[in-house]
Amino acid sequence: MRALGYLFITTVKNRVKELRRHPSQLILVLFIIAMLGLVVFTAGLPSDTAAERRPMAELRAMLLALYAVMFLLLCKNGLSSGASFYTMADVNLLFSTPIRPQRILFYGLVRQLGTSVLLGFFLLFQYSWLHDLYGLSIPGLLAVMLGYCLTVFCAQLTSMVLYAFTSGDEGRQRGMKIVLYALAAAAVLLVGLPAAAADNKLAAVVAAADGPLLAAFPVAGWMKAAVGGLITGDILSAVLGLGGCAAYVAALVLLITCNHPDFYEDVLKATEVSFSAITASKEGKMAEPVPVHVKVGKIGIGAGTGAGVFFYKHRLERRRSRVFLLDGMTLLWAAISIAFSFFMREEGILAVFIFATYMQIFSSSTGRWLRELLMPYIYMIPEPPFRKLIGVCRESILQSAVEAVVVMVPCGLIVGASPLDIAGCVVARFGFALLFMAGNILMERLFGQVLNKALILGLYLVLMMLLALPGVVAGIIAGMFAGVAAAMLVITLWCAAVSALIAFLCRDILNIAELNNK
Amino acid sequence: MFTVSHVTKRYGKLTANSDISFGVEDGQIAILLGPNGAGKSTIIKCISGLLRFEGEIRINGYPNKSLEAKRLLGYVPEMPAVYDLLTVGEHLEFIARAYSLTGWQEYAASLLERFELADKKGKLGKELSKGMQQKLSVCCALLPRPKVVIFDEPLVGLDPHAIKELKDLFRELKRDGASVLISTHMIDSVEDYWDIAHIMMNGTFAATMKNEPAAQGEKTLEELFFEITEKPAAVAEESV
Repeated sequence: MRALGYLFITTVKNRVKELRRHPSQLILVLFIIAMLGLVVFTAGLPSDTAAERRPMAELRAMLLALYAVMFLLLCKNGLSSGASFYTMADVNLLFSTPIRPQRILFYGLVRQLGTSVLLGFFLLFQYSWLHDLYGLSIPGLLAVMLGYCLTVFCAQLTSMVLYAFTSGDEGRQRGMKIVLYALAAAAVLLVGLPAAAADNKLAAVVAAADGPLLAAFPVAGWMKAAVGGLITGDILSAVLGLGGCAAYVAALVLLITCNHPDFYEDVLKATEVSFSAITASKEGKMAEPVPVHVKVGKIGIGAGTGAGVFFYKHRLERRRSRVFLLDGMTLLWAAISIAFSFFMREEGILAVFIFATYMQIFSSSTGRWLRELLMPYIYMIPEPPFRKLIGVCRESILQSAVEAVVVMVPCGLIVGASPLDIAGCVVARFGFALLFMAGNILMERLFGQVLNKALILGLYLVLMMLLALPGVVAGIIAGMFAGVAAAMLVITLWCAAVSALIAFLCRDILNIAELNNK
Repeated sequence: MFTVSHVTKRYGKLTANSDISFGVEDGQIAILLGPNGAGKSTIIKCISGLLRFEGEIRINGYPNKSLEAKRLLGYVPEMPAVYDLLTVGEHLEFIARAYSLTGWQEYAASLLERFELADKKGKLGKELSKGMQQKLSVCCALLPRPKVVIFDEPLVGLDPHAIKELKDLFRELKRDGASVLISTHMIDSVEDYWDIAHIMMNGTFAATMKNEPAAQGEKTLEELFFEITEKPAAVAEESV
């Protein structure tokens, strides 16, 4: 164990030392600590919205949805390529040492737990609205984050076990996939059926999601019960939920160590996959979520010359990666915003728009243009850099327009807004999409390829708020005289102007590859 | 032709290239030799316009980051650069469209043929082996018929046939009047087709040698290379 302990501690120590050599990363870490301090500080301020708070059952229902989606998605991904807690260095150096595999498994589990904590970092930024709507305290938020991290951890462990027991046997893999789909379908039915029959659909959905049946949903249900118990002080629920998860982890570890101690081969493929993704990134390629079996279909890019060819190339790549109008993650975020408009339908279109825009910051996909920065062609092609920047962003711009319609039209209809206000919100959402895309370009220009995007999220958030602020203030003034649609139009014009300015000022990112490879 | 004048490249406190000056004439093949970390790839990326630097680099008289220079320049990176979701043929179509080329199909077909990629025209980038990706990368760089071609470790990972074809191609480029710069750390791979060799150490040129019939007693390129690159170690050993 000494070797593993040494490896773990030395790795952590060296990571801390690395911060000194990379001041930009150190600044980000300090910024995150400052943000945490701000969250804690604002939590201590008196609130006057206590009377308007919504029922805690809604929060528990949302937690179940978040945990269940993460658990099922990670398990499904793990079935095809496995999951690994290890690096190629572990495979090459550690796996060949005379250390018992069980100890190496334990080492991997401990390290993975740390990685899972980092993944849940984005939840900290949800404190403001969670506190306002549900009165969630700082310990409550930490419990939500802990639940998320443990769900991710359990899902990765489950993936590893599923892969170990099904790899090489397509029948078993298919069987496990059916089990996962059946679990998802059962959850949807358990929530959907009572809602279909009820008058108050929202209340029925919440009651079903917060009910005892779904509390038995593997990992997600238990974790929801545990976190809900921790937030409300229901000790029994917390103990049962956490106990269930602890027993689940113990059972999986036992299953691996007793029945499948030679697990090296099973994690090898997943390790190689993640290693090739990391090295590809270091070597100037960005791993793209490409389907295992690509249907090539019609051959040829077909149109576009000069910088314009990138748009048509992206369209071709989009078709081959089986993304049509919107990709899966964008649809998921859109669904969250639409679902939330149910909860806020009494608040009116403006409140829904503000919430949807806040969510948009997290969902704003960086698109294919970012991957182009890691290939030499974009720099070598003899076209002016600004034209190239517009060319590589065109596909993302089009997707943003579609996304604005897909999100704001249903939201507007749910809250019963007028067609003019809905149109204003669609246009303004598109304006914000442009601003967020320009923000991504700006962050790229300033920080290059900082691999940990979660770390720069906070900085990005503040920057976006600052850039949007003048437009929002002007919009509010316009809104006071001419209504919501006019306000949205003013905001859109501001966002579009700022985006164009940022894109123009940052055009050099397509002139010098070095800027994107700091 | 291209010229590199007093180019210095720094990464923070680290000087990767220090005051480098050289040029490659039309119809000339220059090679950059040196151990790992000598600064070969850095100067190549500077010439290709991918990095910022102090000094001046001109391609046929144009500053290397100008559009005119980009039209004349071909660059084959050390790591093959292909798109996962484009087929082999579509990579060439992409380059042809991006460079607004006309009548490129025949030349593209001949490039694919000589690098044994013609039968893989419909294969996706992600389905190619690393060697095939490298060959496709070479084809993409050569399709616009550049006047200056920069190869960064081009022979690594290629099969014997592709190595032979690429060496023939170097000679053809030279014959057609292109300026070729090849970076490598494999001395035996450059054989006899080079005109001038620069040996790099610690970010500078430690020696420059012309490929002329060796007079008796003169050092070969390999002997010169080892004399230069092994000197610090020998000195260090002596001092111990």
